[in-house]
Amino acid sequence: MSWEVVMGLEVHLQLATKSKIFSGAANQFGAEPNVQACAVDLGMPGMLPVLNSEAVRYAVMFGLAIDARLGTRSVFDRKNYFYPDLPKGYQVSQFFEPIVCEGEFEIPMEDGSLFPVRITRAHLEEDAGKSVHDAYTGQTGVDLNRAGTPLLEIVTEPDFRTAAQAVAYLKALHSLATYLGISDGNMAEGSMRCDINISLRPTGSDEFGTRTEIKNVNSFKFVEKAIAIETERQQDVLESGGTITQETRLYDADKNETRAMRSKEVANDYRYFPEPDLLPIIIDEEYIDAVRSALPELPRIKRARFISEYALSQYDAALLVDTPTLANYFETAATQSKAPKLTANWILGDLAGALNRDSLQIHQSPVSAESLAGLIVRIADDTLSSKLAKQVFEGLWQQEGTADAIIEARGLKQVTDTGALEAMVDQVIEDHPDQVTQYRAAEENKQKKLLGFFVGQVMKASKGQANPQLLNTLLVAKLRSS
Amino acid sequence: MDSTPAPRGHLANASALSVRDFIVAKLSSVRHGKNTTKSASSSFVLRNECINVGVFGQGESVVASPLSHHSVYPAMITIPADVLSMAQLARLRIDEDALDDVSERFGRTLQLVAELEKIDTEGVTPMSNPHDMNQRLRPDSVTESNQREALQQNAPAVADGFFLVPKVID
Amino acid sequence: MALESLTSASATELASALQAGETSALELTEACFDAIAAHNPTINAVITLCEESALAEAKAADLQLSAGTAGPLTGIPLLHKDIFCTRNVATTCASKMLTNFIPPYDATVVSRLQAAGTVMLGKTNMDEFAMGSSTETSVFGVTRNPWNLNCVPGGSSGGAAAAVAAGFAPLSTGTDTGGSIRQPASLCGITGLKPTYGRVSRLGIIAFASSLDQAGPMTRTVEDAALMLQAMSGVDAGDSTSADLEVPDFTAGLNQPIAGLKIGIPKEYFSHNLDPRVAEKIHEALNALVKEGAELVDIELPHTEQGIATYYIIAPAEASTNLSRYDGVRFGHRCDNPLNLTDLYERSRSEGFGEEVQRRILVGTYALSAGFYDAYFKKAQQVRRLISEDFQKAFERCDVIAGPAAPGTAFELGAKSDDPLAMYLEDIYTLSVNLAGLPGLSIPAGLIDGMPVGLQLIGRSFDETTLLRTGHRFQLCTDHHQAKPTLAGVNP
Repeated sequence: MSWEVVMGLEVHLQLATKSKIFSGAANQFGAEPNVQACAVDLGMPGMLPVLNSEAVRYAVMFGLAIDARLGTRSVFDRKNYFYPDLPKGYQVSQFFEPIVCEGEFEIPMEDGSLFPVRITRAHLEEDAGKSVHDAYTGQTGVDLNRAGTPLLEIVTEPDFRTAAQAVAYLKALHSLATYLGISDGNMAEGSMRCDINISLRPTGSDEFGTRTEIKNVNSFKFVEKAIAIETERQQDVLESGGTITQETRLYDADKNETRAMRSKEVANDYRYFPEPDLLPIIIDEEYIDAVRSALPELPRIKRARFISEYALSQYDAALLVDTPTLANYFETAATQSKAPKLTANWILGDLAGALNRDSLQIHQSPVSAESLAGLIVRIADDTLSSKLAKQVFEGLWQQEGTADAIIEARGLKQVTDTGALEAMVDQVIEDHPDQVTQYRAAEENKQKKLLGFFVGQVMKASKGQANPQLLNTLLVAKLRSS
Repeated sequence: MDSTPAPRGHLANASALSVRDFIVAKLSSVRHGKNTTKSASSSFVLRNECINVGVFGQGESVVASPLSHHSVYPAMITIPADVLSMAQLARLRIDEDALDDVSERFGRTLQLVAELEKIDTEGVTPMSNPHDMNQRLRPDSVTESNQREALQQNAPAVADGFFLVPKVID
Repeated sequence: MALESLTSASATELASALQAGETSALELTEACFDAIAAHNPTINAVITLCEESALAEAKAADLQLSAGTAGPLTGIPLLHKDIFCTRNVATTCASKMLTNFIPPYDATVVSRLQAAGTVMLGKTNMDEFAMGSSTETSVFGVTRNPWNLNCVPGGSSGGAAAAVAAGFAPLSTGTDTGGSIRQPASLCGITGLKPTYGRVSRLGIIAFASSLDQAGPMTRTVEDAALMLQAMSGVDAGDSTSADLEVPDFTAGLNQPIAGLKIGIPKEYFSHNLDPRVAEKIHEALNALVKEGAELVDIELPHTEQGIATYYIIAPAEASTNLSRYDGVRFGHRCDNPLNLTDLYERSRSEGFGEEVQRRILVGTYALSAGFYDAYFKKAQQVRRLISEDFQKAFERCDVIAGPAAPGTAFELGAKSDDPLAMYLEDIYTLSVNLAGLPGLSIPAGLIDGMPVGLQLIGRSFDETTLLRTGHRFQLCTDHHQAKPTLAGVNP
């Protein structure tokens, strides 16, 4: 039997506010345990929450960016359960009336198509603390620095059928959050965490199978792996006549397996009810308009503009708008080089390769957009062949100066002087009479192959600096004539 | 709402009684009902179904029919199993020899709310807070500094700045 | 000033004596401590004393008094209900759970009253986590009613009411979730005001039911209540539910006449639940107000009886989650040698919470649980709105609503401890006011067999001014508030 995988994703996005969602404690990663947990975060007796305005603004920005319906009246609820990292015994979240309602998000796929994902809702809530399990014998240490970090939980409809779609969605979401500046998107530090709801059904069926929820999958790579391994597990269970238990499972990256979470074994009854310490959040048209007018150019708008303005392919455009920094890099370089397509190729090719090799981000690139433009200009005006250009790029990477300075210093200028080149061609023809005879006797389609020999010889003589197009023209003319 | 005959006798009469009389009537009805094992076990099953569904809201369909066709209250006679499941949710431990007593008082307290059944609340917006006010927003600035030492003075077990609890398994 | 009157005068009178140099804050504070030393062992109203800091505060107040920089409350001794967090002073909520809890912060009310120059003598007894109407569920033992030591003082602010009645302090703070200021004020013969929800900050007050809790003054006169409310009121950035409204000058209009004032009399407050002798006292009190020019209007509050059920769903539901934070991890009682996490939670909480608190947690958990939310909690919130609308309708026809604060006078210790429902009836006239968020005032209206009766006045939202004016007028034309219990050694 063949199976169809059905998935919905829940992403917890940490919002990059200065302070916590309900307290004035700092919202920063990596501090000593509990030094950023104030009395409110610890749920001390008598303490009360006060809502951070930026958390609300960020949620509204996100809602506008995905064209969602906004909850002009939204309400916080308490989600009740006991856990050591949850100081009050309840999480303040939004259950009944979220701030962001239905929206849609178009995801650019590798084949250039757009995959629409329906967003069910996005709501504000507070993050929990962290437990440290290995440091103390028989005990768990609880660090509540993270408690109260603002989260936007973004929930999709069960629209995903492949891991590639899921990963593309997550990447697009990451990109959007970065554009909006609402999250640092640092997955290694848990700024973006993903839960996967996954079920299988026989291909062609339109009923949903029983799903499991895989918690806290925290990198794009693990999302792919977790989906693959859980699909395999569910398929094995179903094909051996078993049934899937609706449960929460944890992905173990070390063992590449999913396993049922012990702490979630007892079905929870969260007893949601409106949080009486907070009042409804009312956002009016004026507020929404102000937030909208301050929105940056969104990835999908920028992508469309890159395609029309710079004649880029859907795929190249999607890659270039991934982060605002990369998009700005491209625009600066493309504007200065006046060769956008070539610029895109260089950024997505040699530059991306070099950055990847040295594990650098675009903002850490030793080659600035201006420097790269200098190189592109010299390719476009035929000063450099692509081969020479690679050498110049190496020079730029080593920060030896501008492209022109490197060309000068390394003597990498292409020979475009017809006279000089003609002399070299004549010399090669004279030195290789047998090959010339052979060439001239050959059929036209074979001649092309044999031409390569002469090109190689002239390139050798010119130390690789002969302009390939010019050389070709000259060689063909000379070999044909005499 | 009012179609289940037998166990509703007390409640139907109660509408004409004062609160005090009503409560007295309740006390005797519950004391009497406590040993009615049959109705007790059925309420236990119903309740357990609701709880096992887990996420709030999804469970509603399970209870929706008894709620809409008759009253939920007649099935409300409490037995120790209900009390135990609430205690488990609330992380309270009830000693076995106190269970009957706790259950009875728990049940008596719950019977009080049968009063509400009489009120027609169709279309009434629930009221969470006395005032029609909106949430105030706080400027996003860091106003708290590290108070760990002072705040952990009251903590029963700490080490290296961590609060300690018995080993947790995820 | 005579030593005797130092422990029976109103704060307003004491303030005049302080300003006039007839006594000092230090002398006054010492007189209060003497009264506490003499009678607290029998009454048990005060559970924590702050002698050292109080004497220092009194000396500082005396400096202000002599420098001429004193305010109306400078040097006036005061007790806080042990539900208010007090920096570096044990704050227990009268629970084993918090016996060793010492907050590193003050409640907003505490810091505001301190800024007003009051002298904090200590903390008063209460029902555990404010859940009760008799101050019998305290881990520190029962508080006795100064008018009859065999009777309860009411609750949950029973320690505060008993302390003011017994001459321990002219002022004390209370909190009122369903009647916890007004009912003990009624049973102990003092003045108690529950302000409009949102008038006074809840920050630093240990939460019972967040949408109902409100702190207020417990005093010997309405004038004192106005003075104290002035110091307590106002928006607090730290409490999202505190109202951002200008605070009126509560003392300015106190002496205005009440001619033409319409007083609504809800027939539901005079049903057979009410002790007929109390009804008689209330009618006498209303007659006194009529003589001052007020007009009585019959009104209806049809959902009064459902108020109890509504309250006993909403309050326990909110409490059940407010009390989840007591888990033995960051503060509060922790059981010995927990075997695992569940054991830590269950034993710490079952050992730390008393029976009534646990019962309310169970009921509240039930009311919010899956499948029962609609039938219980949501239904109660709907009825809550109907109750609120009843009041709105009534206030179209009157300015103030009057009735009893409690169905009877103080009952004997233990009389209702085994019967939670009988205890819940104590609040039948007060808890609807919390559900609607309105201000309510209880003032002494005479004695029945030597035990005090309280007249309750209920006002429009944020209109404490009219309540206080009416109450003050009543105290100008009657002397019920001057009746004092006889305690050997203080009032011979």
